[in-house]
Order: sequence, then structure tokens, then C-alpha cells
Amino acid sequence: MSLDDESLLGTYLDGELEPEQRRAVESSLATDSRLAEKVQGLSSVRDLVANLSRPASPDVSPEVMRRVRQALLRRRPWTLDRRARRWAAAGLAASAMAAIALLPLLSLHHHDTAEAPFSAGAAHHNPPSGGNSPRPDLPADMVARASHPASLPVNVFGPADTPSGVSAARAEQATETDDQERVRTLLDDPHLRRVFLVADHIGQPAEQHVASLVERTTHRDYFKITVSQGIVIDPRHPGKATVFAVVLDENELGPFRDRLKKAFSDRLQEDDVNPAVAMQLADIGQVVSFPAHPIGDLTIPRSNLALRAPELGEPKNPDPALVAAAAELDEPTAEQERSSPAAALDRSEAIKQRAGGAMANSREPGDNVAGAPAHAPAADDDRLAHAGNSRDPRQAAAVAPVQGGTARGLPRSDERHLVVLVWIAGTSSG
Amino acid sequence: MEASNSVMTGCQDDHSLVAASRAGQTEAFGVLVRRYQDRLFPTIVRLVGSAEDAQDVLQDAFVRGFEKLDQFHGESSFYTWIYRIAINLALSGHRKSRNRRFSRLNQPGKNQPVVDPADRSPESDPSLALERLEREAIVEAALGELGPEHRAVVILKDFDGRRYEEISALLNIPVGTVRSRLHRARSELRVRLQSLIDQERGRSTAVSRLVASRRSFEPMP
Repeated sequence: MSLDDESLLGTYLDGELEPEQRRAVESSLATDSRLAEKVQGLSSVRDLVANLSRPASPDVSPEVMRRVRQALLRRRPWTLDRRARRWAAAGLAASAMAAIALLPLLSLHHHDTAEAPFSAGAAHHNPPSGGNSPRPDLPADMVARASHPASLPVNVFGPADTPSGVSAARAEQATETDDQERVRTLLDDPHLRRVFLVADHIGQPAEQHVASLVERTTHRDYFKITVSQGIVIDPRHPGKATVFAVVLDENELGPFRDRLKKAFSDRLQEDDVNPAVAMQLADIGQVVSFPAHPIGDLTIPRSNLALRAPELGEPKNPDPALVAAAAELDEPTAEQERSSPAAALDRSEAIKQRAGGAMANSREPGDNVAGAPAHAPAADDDRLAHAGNSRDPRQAAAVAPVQGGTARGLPRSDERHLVVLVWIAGTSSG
Repeated sequence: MEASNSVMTGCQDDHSLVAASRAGQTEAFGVLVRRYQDRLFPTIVRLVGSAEDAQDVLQDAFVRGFEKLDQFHGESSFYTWIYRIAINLALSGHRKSRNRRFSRLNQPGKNQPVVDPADRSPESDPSLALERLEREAIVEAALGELGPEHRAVVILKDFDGRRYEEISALLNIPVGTVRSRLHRARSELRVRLQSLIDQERGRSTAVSRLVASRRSFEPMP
């Protein structure tokens, strides 16, 4: 038997030879004492290794659980670069710093979506006319670029299941850690169903608009994640990406889509999306979570509160900050109006939300906001004042703790993408 | 509440626990950890060469498993899945540590067993226990002198009882390579452990003679 064949001795010992080979080896062993000696030696080696002691494990579960929980809070930092790149590839600005702002709804009443509150609300005021003064700070190419939003990676995923992370339960007793875990659990839920992208070249009003549409549609808590630039990976998109994460019932998806379409028309893109994209979101940099209540109060669009939570009352006095915020809303250019009618709605909606004393000081006398109710809750006014004169108090408040004043200094013409990630509750497909 | 109790008592099957873990119930994953850590630990100890490093690998494996839980689709058992993760970690991430550990073991006079004597099964006779410890230290040292690839194969086969196909899949090498590496590893070990083998053989021969001599005194039926 050759040296190569001798490897068969071990295989024979392990019982992994074909019957024919096994018979051949047995025949050799019967006639060759040297081979028999080798087999015996190999067998002894095998036994020595096999009989090594098998110690019981120390209980690693406490440490594993600690690290697992920590990992839930600080998502896989070693994958930052890859994930960040993928976001950049998706046309989103990504950064090493991400602020996650929790925007729980104040109103938990499941409103009747058939009421189409957005449509009704939009009817209260006319879209701004072409007579608005031009907006010098918005380049035309920016407008054109923004009308072609980049797409997220497209993929398919399994059937929807009940999202586990976000329930209708309020987070009143939840700790900050609980809130963070809820966000992460939702982002990690593989049953992400739809993604809506809105190219936003106007700035904050569109974000408010999307937020209000999300709020009107869902009766659950929802989340807003601000991916802010700290390290600009894609220089073509130096702006920010604001992501809303929301769980909808099946019957809420249609109305939500309709509202988005109505509001943003060609600036809206809808797609299936790889759930991994959402998971990646949780991994971008250090995550900062805000206590649910203050942020929730801070970020509720006032117009909706007026419609749905009248018990909050009318504002006693227009807040100077609101007036300033309305005054700062520049009028869109005519070109902008043409390319994106929703921008006008954004702006009208924003003005509407800044109603109260805003009318008197507004630089848009042509806007028909006279019929809009003055409904900014005093509580919001206080927080708005606290947030300073930022055009978007929510944005400023959400980002300021992380970035300092960076967000406030963003030029209004920043190109951004508003992303709405939608999970569908229940098991039906669609 | 019932589900929670089941988690606490560890009565749920693996797939239920995986599903619960995915849903954010980290305590369900804790049950899986406690369920399988004892099965995984010995092999990792033998692969990395020390209980301390093995503990690190085990923790890393479970944490990695939790991170990748969405990639577990149930085609195999959870144990098989986490076993693969643990083995890969033991063979890759901790290679430097392992080599350092084994090289230290190979120093003369420092052939201490990787397992604390308190961990091993009790032996009634202290001299036998000591002898066993010494024997184990010699085997460990011989394993440490093997190259990592050969050591992995012989441990997965002879210590862990994996079949060639399984080792092939685990190490991502052809079955023929498994066979040849195993033969090479055993042959090297046979040379290094020859004195031990002779002792064992001598002992078994003595036992055989004793049995034979007793038989010779047995009355004929």
C-alpha cells in the first residue's frame, strides 16, 4: 500500500470508506503487520484526542445579554463604513452622527381615514399663485435635480407580519432606553413593506408636511430619524435625509399613498425596499434618542392638533417666534411652482401652521390664509420659542443636542430626501 | 404572560425562542445561550487552546449570532447554525491568541492543561487524576504543535465526532482535503505521542494478560 493509500487507513478507521475500499484495506491489514501497526497507532491517537476532558462552560449568558443589549443601543459600529456607503449609494447623505427623534403622537384616536383630512385641509387655502416674488437663493438646477429623487436599493422581501417593535401602547412609562429599543426594533423588523421618497428642495415645510401626513394616517407612534451630515460621503447630496418610520394598518396604506401623491406628485417615488436598508439606518453612527414626551410635544404639527385635539385650545397670543418663522419662509420661484406644485402646498401648510399673528407680519399678502384657523397651541409656542428662530423648530430641536447649531445654519436650498419607511401591521400581503 | 413564563423556564423550542429574540425579547436569546453554551464550549476550548479564550469566543459567537439572527432561516437547527459561527470565530478571529496560547503551552515545563482540574470529572484516585492531567497536558501540547489547519481538522473529527462532509462544509474545503489533513495530523500526533501510546498499549496489554490469566483459572464448564 502506497503512502497515498495510507490515508485510507484513517478513513477506514473513521468508517467513511466505500464498501469496496473497506474490503481492500481489511485485506491489506490482514497480510501486512506494518499497516496493522499503523492503524493501531492512529486509533490510539484518535482515542487520546477523543478522551480529552470536556469542561462545562462558564455561564456566558449574562455577559452575552449585556452585550446584546448594548448592541441594540449601539448598532454594529464595525459595519459603519459599509452601511454608510450603501446609504450614499442610495442617494442619501449619511454621516457618522445620527439623531433619532421620537415623535409619538399626542392623539391616539384612530381617525377615520375616509375623511381625507389632508384634502380638506388643503382646500382651506388656495395654492400660492404665480404672483409670488422670486426666490433668489434657489438655483434652477437644484430645482431640476430635486425633481428626480434618487432611489433606494430595490429588493423583495417576505410577506408582512406583525411588526413587533412598535405597538399602540404609549410610551408614557417607557424609559429612554425603551424608546431607543423600540426604534431599533422597528428598523430591524424585516417586514418593511414600502418606502416613499420625497425629493425636498424647499426645506422644512415639506418635512412638516410629510410628518403631518404620517400623523394623520397612522394611529400609532411613529419615528423620525434625522441623518445629518457630519461626514459628507456623497458630495452631490450634502444635505440631510430625514426618515420617517411608521407602522400602518393595511387599510391605512392606500389613503397614505394618495395623500403623498396629492401633496408631492412627481416628487414622490414609491418602491419596495430591502428591509436591510432600514436596518442600516440604525447603524449610522451614534444614536441619540430623545425622551418621548418632550419631543412628541415639540413636533406635533399644530394644524393637526387643531383639527383633532381641540381641547388643547387656541393660542392666546401669537408667539413672536412663530411670526418670525412664517416671515422667514421665502416664496418659491415661479419655476419652482411649476416643477413642484406640492412645494406651494408645503409652504401654505407651513404658513397655515404658523398662523396666529403670522398673517400680520407675513411677507406673502397674496396668500389666502385668512380662512385658516389660528390654532397653534401655547405649549408648542413655548417650545418653539425655546428652539429659537429656526425655520423648523422640530428640526432644530431634534438636531441641536447632537450637532450644536449646525442644523440651523443649513441653507434653505439644501437638497434633501424625505423618506417614509412603512411597515404594515397584520399578516395580509399587498 | 404565558410566553414570558415559557421563556423564563426555557420550555420553548429553539425556533420559538429565535422568533421571540427577533421580536426583541432578548431574554429569549438568553435561554438559547444557556441551552447551548455547554455543548459548544469544549470544542472551542480545544480549538483555541485555553478556557479563557474559549469563553471570549463563545460570547462573541452568541453576540454575533444575535446580530445575524435575521439570516437564520431555520434550514438547519439553531445549534448547527450557532456552532458554525462559533467554529468560524474560533478559527479566524482568535488565531493570534490561540497561537500565542499554544506556543506558551509548548514551552518546556509549562505544559499545563487548558482546563482547570476543578472542571474535569472527578476521579476517585488522586494519583490517577494526576496521571490523567499529565496525559492530557501532553496531548494538548502535541495538538498545539500542529498547524492550525491540521489541528482544526483533527479536533473537529476526533474530539467533536464530525463527519468528513460536515468538516468540509465548516472549513469550506473539499472532503479529500479533510481526509489528507486528518491523516497528516494524526500521523504527526502519533510520532509526538508515541511514548504515551506505548504506555497506553502497555497498560492495555497488562490488562489483557490479567484478564487472560483469570480466564485460565476459571473452571471449565
